[in-house]
Amino acid sequence: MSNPKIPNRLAEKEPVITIVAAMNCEIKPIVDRLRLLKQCDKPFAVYKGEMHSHNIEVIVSGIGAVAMAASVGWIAAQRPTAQRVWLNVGTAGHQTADLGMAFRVHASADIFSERKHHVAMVAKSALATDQLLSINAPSNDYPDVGGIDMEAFAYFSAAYKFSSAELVESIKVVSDSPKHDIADLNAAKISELIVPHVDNILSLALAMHALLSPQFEAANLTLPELRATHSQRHQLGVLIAKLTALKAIDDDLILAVNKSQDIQNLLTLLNTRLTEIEPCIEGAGHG
Amino acid sequence: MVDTLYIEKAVASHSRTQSVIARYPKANQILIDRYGEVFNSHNQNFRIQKNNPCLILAEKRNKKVISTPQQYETGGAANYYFSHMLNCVYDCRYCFLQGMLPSANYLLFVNYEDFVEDIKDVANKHINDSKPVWFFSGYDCDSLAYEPVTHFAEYFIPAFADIPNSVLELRTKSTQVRSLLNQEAISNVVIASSLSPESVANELEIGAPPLHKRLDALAKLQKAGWRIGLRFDPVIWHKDYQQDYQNMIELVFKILDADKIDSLTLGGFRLPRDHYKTMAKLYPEHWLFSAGLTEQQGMITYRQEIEQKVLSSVQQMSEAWVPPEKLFVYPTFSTTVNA
Repeated sequence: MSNPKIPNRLAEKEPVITIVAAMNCEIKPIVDRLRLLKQCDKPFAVYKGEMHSHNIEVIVSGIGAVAMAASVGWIAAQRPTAQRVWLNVGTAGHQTADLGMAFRVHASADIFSERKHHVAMVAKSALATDQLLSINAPSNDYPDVGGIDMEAFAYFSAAYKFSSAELVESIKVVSDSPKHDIADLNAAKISELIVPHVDNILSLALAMHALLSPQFEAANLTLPELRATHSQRHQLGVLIAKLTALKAIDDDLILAVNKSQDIQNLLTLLNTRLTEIEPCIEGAGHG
Repeated sequence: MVDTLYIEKAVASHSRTQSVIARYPKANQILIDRYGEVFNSHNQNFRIQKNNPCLILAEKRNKKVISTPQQYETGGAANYYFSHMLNCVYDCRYCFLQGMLPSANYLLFVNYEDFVEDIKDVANKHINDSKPVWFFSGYDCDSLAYEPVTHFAEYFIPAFADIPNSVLELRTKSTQVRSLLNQEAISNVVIASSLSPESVANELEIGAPPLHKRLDALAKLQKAGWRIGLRFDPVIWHKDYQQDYQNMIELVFKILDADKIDSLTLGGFRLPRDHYKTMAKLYPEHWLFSAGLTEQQGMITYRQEIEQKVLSSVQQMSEAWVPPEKLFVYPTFSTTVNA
């Protein structure tokens, strides 16, 4: 992992890996491994840093679905234009799995609404998968399939508002079962259970990050100050984006744009330029 | 390689499901009630999913055989299509599936027997037609590209031998023709290959076999007696399109016997508006979604003068080899060309 380094001001649009956990002890092994630095305590504890030169932030939501959903919404709003991959890390109860076993969640269900999210597992990972049922209070009743927790369904539901489904995942480590009472758990034990899985957790986070495509940026033309309606501004944006995609913005066009006297002339100029462009397929030349 | 298999409980014990599972012994298997839970879920990103699609094995329950759009014909009187699979192993940038489907996961309907029953029912309705009834496959997937897994052609081609008033047209870019070459050619099956100039294929048909390999496969099929159709669709307008298409057409008929070609079709780049908008959002940086386009009655297509120029030009090149009765042109603008 890279040395600790806190960017003074993260570029607003730079992609970020966001790891969300309900409890500090669940995330402590990751914070320690990456030597992340605490940024704030309220309304949620947030740690930031870098991993392989990628921005990473960790947020501790607090226990329960409401706290989880609020934390996801809050941190997404801090940098609303950033591309973001989400990974929930936490513990879960399980009827049959061994204590300390980690699994990637392939389906997250809610006990009350009976709704279910099938997780779009596009990133590669060596972890086994299982389904997870979210309940509203700690319980010693374990369903006969999959794990139980209290936050995952709320996490998925909230994170899907900000990123596409492929960029939202969850890893759970089994912390209690019929043989291992939940009452015996404490913060230190939970951190101990997470530690052996930090490599797999970070590996999945990086694999998800690798799925991001570079964000398309239309050419940043310095446009003359012209009076324009909302619709005209929209048309202007579309035309500039298309001309950028066609690599058709050159010095002549920029000069002509700067000379434009009114928005209608500018739109006509760009439209004309657009109709003139013949796309050129690279490597298709015929001497 | 498929990492995850979603399996509808209703088809979990189906022999075809078991055969696919055996093909991917290391894949994670997840049982589901209905494929829509996964395939139609919200907020999926087709472009990201293309990195590692899952395979969903399901039962096709509703209508399996559908009438084609009116213009779409290559020799039959009545024309239908059916899709045993949604999505394709290739990643062609112009493909409408990117705009139409919510997911890039492969969805394979394993109940082939039910498809064939419906096809027979439809064929029976046309038993007195003067021309055969045409069934197209490869509208929502490539017909042959996934053959080692699906055994689609292996099952459907012999089935069509028993439906004499029908023709099965398999649309493909694939070179997976071994199962065809291992059997006698059947007179009511057409292998229709989509071809583009090498430059276009390299740039836009990601993952598909290069032109020369497709032609090699077609040559083998033609030699073995199979009926061959050629599909230059979409014809892609670009700076060197005339030279590129001329070169391709010369190469095609250097390798294939033009006299034995069943049909040749041409079409411009065209998409329903909503599909176009989705695709342009997925690939905003791609020139394909910005060059020469206009909207015409809910379709995004090349501007009329471009479409006319491009289709006429490639039509003329094709007419040097293929007689007019075998040449079908699908213009968006009705006045563009008449084959």
